[in-house]
Amino acid sequence: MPKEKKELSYEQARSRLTEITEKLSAGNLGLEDTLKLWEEGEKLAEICQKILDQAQARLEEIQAEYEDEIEEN
Amino acid sequence: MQVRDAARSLADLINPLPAIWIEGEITQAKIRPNSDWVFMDLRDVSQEATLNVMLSKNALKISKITPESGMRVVVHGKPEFWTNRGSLIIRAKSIQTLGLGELMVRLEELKQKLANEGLFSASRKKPLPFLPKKIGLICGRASAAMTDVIENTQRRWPIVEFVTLEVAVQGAKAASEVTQALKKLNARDDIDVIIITRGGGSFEDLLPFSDEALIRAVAQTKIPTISAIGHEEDSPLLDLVADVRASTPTDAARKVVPYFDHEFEMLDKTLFNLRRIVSAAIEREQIFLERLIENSGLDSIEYFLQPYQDQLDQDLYELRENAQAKVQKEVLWLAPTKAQLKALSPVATLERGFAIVQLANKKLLKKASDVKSGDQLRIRLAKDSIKAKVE
Repeated sequence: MPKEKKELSYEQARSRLTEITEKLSAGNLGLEDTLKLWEEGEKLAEICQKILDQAQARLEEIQAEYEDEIEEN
Repeated sequence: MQVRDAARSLADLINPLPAIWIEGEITQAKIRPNSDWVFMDLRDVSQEATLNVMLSKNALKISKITPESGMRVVVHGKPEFWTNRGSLIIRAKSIQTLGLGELMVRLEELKQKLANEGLFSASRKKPLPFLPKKIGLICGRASAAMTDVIENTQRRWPIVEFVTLEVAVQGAKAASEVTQALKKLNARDDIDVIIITRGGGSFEDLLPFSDEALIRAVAQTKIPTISAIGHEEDSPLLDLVADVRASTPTDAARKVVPYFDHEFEMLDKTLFNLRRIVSAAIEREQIFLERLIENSGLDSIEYFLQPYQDQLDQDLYELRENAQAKVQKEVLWLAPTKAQLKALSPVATLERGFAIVQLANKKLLKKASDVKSGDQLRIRLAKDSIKAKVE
C-alpha cells in the first residue's frame, strides 16, 4: 500500500480520502483502525494538496507566459 | 584568195572609212629623230583595247604637246590597213590632250548613268561586320596608304588579320588590276571586309577609281567594301558605290574595327546601365506588387484570421478558466475534508493530554506484558511523537 501511494492519481486519492472520511464519520471503528485510516487520510490529503498546488502553479505559469506574449506583441 | 588579194580587200573596206575622234591613254610613244612620223599606242583606260596611231611631227608641232606615257589624248584620224604588214593603224591629222573639264564632264555623265541604274542607292549598301577577323586590303605596292591602314587598324584592334594585295593604283593598269584584285578577294570565303585604298593624288591620278568596270565590280561584290581614296575632298565614284566611304586610309582603320579601349569602356557603361535598368525594374515590380496586394486586400489576411484567433483565445481562456475552476473546486473540497479528517482523528483526545503508545509494528500497546525490555516504542502526542525504549 505505501509503495502504491505515490502512483495514485488525484481522482484515486480523492476517492480514497472521501471513503476514509466517511468511514471515520461513521464512528464505529476502534482506535487502532481510526489511527490507521487517519494517518492514511492525512497522507492522501497531502497528495491531493500537492497535486492541486502543482496544478495551480502550472496554471499561473501558463497565465504569466500568456501575458508576456501579449506584452511582447 | 591569195594573201595579197585578201589584204587588198580589207584595205578597200577600211581605207575609205571617214576620220574619227578617238580618246585614249598613251601607253607608248616612239619619236625617232630621223623619222617624220611619231608612232604611239593608244589604249582604252579600262578595257583591253589598243590602237596604233601615227602622227606627223608637223601635226605634233602644231598641237604643242609632247606625247608621253599616261597622257590622255583625243586624236582625229582615219583608219588605214597596211597591206604589207597586215596591220591597222590610225593616221592622225591632229592630237590634243583631254582637258580636265572634259574629263569631269565624262565622269559626271558616268556618275549619272550609274546612279540611274541604282548602283549608288542606299538600299544596296551592306553593313560592315562589327568585328572582322580578316580584312582584304587592296593598295599600292609598299604604299603609305597600306601602312596607314594596317598600322592604325591593328593599333585599334590588335588581333585583326590582313590579306594584302598590292597592285598598280595609278596609270593605265590601275583600274584593271584593282578590279582583278577585288575579284580575287571575292572568290575567297574567309574575307570579312575589303578596303580599297590609295593616298592622295591629282584628279587624273584618281581617275582609275572612277572606272566603270571597277565600279560595276564593286557593286557586285558580296563582301562589304570600304573605299579610302585620297583625301577628304576627293570623291571618286568608288566612294559612291562602296558600302562605306572613308575619307582617308586612317579613317578606313577607324571605320573597319572598333577601338579596343573604347569598346571596353562601352561594355562597362553598358553593364552599369543594364544593372541600373534591372534594379529599377525590380523596384518597379516591387511597388506594383505592393500596390496590388494593397488593392486586393491580401495584406489584410490577418483580418480574415482574426475571428479564428479570437475563437482560439476564447477557447484558451475558457480552458484556463475551467482548469482554474476545477482546481478551485478541489481546493474548496480539500480544505474542509482535511478539517473533517482532523476532527475525526484522535487529535482532539490527544490534545487533552492523552498519548498513544505504538509498538514497532504500529500495533497499539494495550498491556505491559505485550512488551519486553529493549523494545522500541512510539509515543504519539498531540503535536508530534517521540521514540522510547522499554527498560
